[in-house]
Amino acid sequence: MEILLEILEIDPDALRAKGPGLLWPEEPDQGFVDAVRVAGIVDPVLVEEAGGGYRLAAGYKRVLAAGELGIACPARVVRGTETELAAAYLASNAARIGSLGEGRLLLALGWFARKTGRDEALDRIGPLLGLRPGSRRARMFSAWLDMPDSLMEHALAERLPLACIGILERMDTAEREAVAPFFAPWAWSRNNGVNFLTWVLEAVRAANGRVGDLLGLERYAAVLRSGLSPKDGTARLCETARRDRYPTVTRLREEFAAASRGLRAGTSWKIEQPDNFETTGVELTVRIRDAQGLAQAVSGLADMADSPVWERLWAVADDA
Amino acid sequence: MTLDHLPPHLRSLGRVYVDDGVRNSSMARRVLSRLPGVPVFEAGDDPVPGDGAGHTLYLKEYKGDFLRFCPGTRYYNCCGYRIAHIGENCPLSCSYCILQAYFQDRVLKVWANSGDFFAALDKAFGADPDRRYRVGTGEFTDSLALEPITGYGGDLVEFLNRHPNVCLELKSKFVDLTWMERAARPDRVLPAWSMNAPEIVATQEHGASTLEERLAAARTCAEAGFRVCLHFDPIIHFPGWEKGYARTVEMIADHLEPSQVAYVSLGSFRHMPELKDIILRNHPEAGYVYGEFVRGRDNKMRLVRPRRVEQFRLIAGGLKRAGFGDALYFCMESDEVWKAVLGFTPKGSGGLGARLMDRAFGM
Repeated sequence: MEILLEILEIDPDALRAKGPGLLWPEEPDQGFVDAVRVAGIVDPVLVEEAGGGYRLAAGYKRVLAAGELGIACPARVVRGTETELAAAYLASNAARIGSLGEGRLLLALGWFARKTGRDEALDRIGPLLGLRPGSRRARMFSAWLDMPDSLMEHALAERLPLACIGILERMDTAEREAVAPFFAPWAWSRNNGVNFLTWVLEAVRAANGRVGDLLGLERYAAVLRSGLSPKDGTARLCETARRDRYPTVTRLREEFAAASRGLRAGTSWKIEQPDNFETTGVELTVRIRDAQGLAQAVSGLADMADSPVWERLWAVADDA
Repeated sequence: MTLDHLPPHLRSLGRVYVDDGVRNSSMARRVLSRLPGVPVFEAGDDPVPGDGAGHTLYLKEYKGDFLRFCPGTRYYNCCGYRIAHIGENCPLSCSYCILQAYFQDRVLKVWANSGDFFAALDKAFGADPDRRYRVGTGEFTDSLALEPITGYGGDLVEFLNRHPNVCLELKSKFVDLTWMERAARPDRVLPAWSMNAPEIVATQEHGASTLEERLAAARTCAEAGFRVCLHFDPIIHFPGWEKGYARTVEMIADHLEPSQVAYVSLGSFRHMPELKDIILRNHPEAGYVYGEFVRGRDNKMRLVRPRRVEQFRLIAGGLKRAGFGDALYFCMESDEVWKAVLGFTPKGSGGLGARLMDRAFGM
């Protein structure tokens, strides 16, 4: 690859923007435009010679800002193969990489992998993307390159966290296709995404069932149709999957919570089952800040002491 | 030379490492004579390299304790079993085996300084002839898996002829009865076999004797005057477990009389949290790891209590109906489970260790 030292002045409108290696084009915000207005474009964009003119290789945001302000754009000519130009683009955007979402990094890695093969992309381009060769993170990105388009689409859009790859790798083709629609409506948090997929897969494995059959049940489909906010929708799906993965524990917790809620009503006591129902024990805690709080806690405990609900709490797991 | 004279699970032994200090020991000489043609190497300061498949045997000069307590915890009722420590690891690769997480490698280790071993036991057991011991060799290895090449079980049986205050349990998934003829007191040796649902034996205990073979061997021992022990451990929760375990109970009743059984343990599959990933890596077909496990009070993962109780009730109920009720106990279970299934707790019956000691000694 060769970058000429000469700096040209090019009319922004003459640049054919969005060349193939412009992987992360971004519109300039007002702050950026204002900065260019004050200081001009201090870092020349990169252009390649094409058809008697120039095509943009790096500097999309700067070109748009220059166009908006009606000023010429400083540019240097770069010559090389398509992948070399794209690598120059990454180098030119190195400062952005730390703030880019994982989907954009995956997009870039995938682009290079298609052009050069996965190994070379990881070895040569990976470091530019913050992926140290052989690192766990690099392996995670590499594994994503084997995922089907139906999942890749959501990962690139950053609705499906890349951290879900571990559980997705344990799924077969049909299972991956079955979970994909659940990432279409909402952007999932890392924890919720991993938990949802893990619980669904493990519930199915435990029952020798099929992911498609479980997720085809109305209790899942109804959430997809619900129009809930991303936070509520993903939380509802997680709760549904957790119930399928841990039906007994979920039911015990709900029964315990329902019984204890009435018992502690009006008091400052917190009532919990401390050991996953391994014992019949019940744990009571209270936080006391002053003498009045202490008196109220003691009084509240005395009020609770004679309740028949205790027997129910101690026996929740015995009767299951 | 081939190893065709050995049982199939030992024919793939590919190399032997020997500590210099035990090179001329009787145990090393015996083992090497039974493994003709197998390359022998001197073990150095570095760890013996394993092949990840249990094909390497290490005749070790062991410097640790030969008589140990079973690693129970205070949160669950422990049976107080004492371990006569003869070696580590097992040539089987049962999917659920805890040894996968206990040990870093799959090298089969045999304490070849058996003179030191017997001296330590002689000192412990001879100190007070009135003190009873219930010991076994099946905690860190299978008691009889290596018997065809080591004869350790037979040696121990013969050694304990001089210590009638000791009852020895030989716990195995194999059938090897060569030790029987060396037992002067059949009432002081408890041959024991692991029991499970036939599906689990077939799919998760590759290379072990079948359930039918184990029970036939148990009957042979019983007919020779030995009382046997049966261990339902680990009980696995899998689709169809009800029929599977009911079938095993039926098979037990078909082969043994209640009077021929010293005790029967029930233990639910429990594991250190990290074992799950190890099992999935080594045995991806082991779907039972996706059961409804919770962290127990000992920090091991256990099936949630109602599901354990459900399994225990079915198995214990079947065994009770077949007349084996008095022999039942739980391995590492809580008072809540004891009460729910058997209607009493070990503390209420004098303590589990004392009860099993009496059963072991036929009292």
